Amino acid sequence: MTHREKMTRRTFLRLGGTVAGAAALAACAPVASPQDDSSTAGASAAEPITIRYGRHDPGGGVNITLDAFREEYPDIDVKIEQIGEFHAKIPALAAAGTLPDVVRSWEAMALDLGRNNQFIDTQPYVDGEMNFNPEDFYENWWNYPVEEGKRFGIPDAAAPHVTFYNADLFDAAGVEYPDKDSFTWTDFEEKARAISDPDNQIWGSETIPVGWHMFSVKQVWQNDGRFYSPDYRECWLDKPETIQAIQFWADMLLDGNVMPSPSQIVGIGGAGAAAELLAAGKIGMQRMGSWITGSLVEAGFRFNVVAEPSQARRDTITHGAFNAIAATSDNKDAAWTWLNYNTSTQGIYNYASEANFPGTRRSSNAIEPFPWVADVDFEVDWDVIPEALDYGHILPGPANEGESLKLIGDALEKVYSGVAKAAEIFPDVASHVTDVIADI
Amino acid sequence: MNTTGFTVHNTIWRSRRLRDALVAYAFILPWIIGFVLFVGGPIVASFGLSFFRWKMIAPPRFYGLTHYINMFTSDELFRISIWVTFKFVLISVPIGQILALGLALLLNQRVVMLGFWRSVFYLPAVVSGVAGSIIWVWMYHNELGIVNNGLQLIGLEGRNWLFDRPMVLGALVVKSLWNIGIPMVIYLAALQGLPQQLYEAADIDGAGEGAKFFAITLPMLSPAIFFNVVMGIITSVQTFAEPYVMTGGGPDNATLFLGLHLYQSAFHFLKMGYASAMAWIMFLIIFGLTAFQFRLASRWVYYEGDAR
Repeated sequence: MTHREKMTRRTFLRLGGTVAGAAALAACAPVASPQDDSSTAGASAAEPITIRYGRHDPGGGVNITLDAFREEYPDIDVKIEQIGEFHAKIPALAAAGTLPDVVRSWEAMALDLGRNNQFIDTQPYVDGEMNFNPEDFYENWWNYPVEEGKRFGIPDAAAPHVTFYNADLFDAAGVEYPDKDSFTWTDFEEKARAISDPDNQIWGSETIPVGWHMFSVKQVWQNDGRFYSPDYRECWLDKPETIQAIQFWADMLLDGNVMPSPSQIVGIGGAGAAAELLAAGKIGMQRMGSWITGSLVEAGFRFNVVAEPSQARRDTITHGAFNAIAATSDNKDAAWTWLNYNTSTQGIYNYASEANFPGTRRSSNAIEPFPWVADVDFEVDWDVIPEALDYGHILPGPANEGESLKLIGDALEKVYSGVAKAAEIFPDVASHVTDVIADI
Repeated sequence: MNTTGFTVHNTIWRSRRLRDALVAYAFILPWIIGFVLFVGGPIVASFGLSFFRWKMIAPPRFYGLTHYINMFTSDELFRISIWVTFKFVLISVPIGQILALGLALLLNQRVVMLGFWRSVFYLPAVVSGVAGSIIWVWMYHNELGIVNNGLQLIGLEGRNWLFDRPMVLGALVVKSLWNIGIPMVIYLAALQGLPQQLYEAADIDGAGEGAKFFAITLPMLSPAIFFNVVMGIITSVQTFAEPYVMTGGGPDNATLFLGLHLYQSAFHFLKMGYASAMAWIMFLIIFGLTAFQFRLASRWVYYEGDAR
């Protein structure tokens, strides 16, 4: 039997104090970042450099690219970090100086982080690549993340808004399908009115998702208006084209005979149920991002797709994101190696395939099977989807976007609910928003 | 005891006291560290930040009192959020206290399954604000919600409660009443501590139930009422989870509470300095309301043993 000495209270306190002190010191110590690991890489050649790749989603198809990358670059270990609450955590990471080496962020966020020196200018890296062909990218996408000659990212895939329509509902109403080559706001309204039968809860168009105010951006573009000036220093909500566009759609929304009005949509599932309503034969057309294709195919009805209706010009939103290198990265060269690999023709295709989007590189969109094409037993004009990248635009990215969107969103909500006319409130809102976005 | 003996005794006593104090501090040290790092530190930092413009993604810039001035001169949303919060406090606190007291009076009776009923009414108080809010989103659902379906059963038409501007704040007030379990338990404890001889004396004097309630129960409960009202106002001013989860501040900013506007300013608009200033204004509002209640308390709160 071993003799165990009794621990005195003093010994216990001393021990406890030491442990608590050590724990507190350990908690206060700076978090060992992957960059720290890499700084020791020089000492041991066998240790790979670790690159953190931050994005809002798990990455899907990126894992295919990652597997190939690991084989080709065994000395670079890329770790994908899925960051929840992206809009809040990315600024917090930036404030702490612990942004991942490569960050995939959305439109305005990419520009704002770049403007505030959180991302480096990747143009020198692009220029240093012998075989890099910028013209392979769709022009709007390639030019978007550039301000004052600095490039704050490289795009990957894009999801354009187009018009999906229920061919069966058009047939039942005896209405001609939208013309692929010429589809205007007037055509849209005429066809929607002809299909609508509100008494039986059938409408020609889906409603406008009032809370999703960026939906209105494309309507303004189609009327040759803009939310902001090209340099994002001025709000153009007070311009006639913008006011006219928003009021036109608001009037159709409130009419109740083109699309479900805010009160009508309440009883049939809300604005979020548009794809289900399209599939159920309750609405004839839905202007939405190409990501809904999968759910339409699953629903098993006959649909087709045309471009968004145009007014002064053809335009649409193309959603997507940009990959950029954090200024705090200790391994910028390795970060570029991964970024460039991931946004190569094959890298973009891998991600786009999983997401059913087209890529922002034309060469990616030439690889078969095409990601945006679904297997159905009726004819669909699938080409409409990638074609939208030729004329569509990316959501605007002014400084202080969050606050400006709140002001614009509140104003749009008033117009779409019929509380105010666009012409009455937009001039005031525009001047207020200008103050916000100009305050860099 | 001679002088030397007294000195030795005094020294031992002092060293024992010192040791006891050190032991006590050693035990509360983890809490003190946590408080300084996660509560005290951020409080001090937020006060400093309120004088800076800080977007998180750029270094802070000194801004002086600009945030405080802008808040009262140019931020329409701040004015709206103050008004929304004020209305909510004004409606929810009195109703909540009356219901909590009523429930406590009922649960202070000898009824069947008393323990069960007490647990049932207290249970929602242990559910987190977010989880409770999600439950209420479903309860208020236009088509599937128990509220509208219940109304339909008695021949009334339901509403789209959370999207209907005139109704939405009322809907959140009703949700807040779900948490009356906490004040109810305090009232219940206070009721059980009321001296029975006062009621016996009142019975001898021929007092009715109403007279006993207003002349004995309410005055004797006044310290509990005071405590619950103070706490109720503080938590109501700080309301955040419900509008964040259930309405996002809408429709048309009808539920843009001060706490939600503060959060949006910080994490959506990245105006950390401004949000910090707003937090200090919120603190001053709460402090002012609490101080006001303490001032009024001497007129209506009765403490047993106090000279009146």
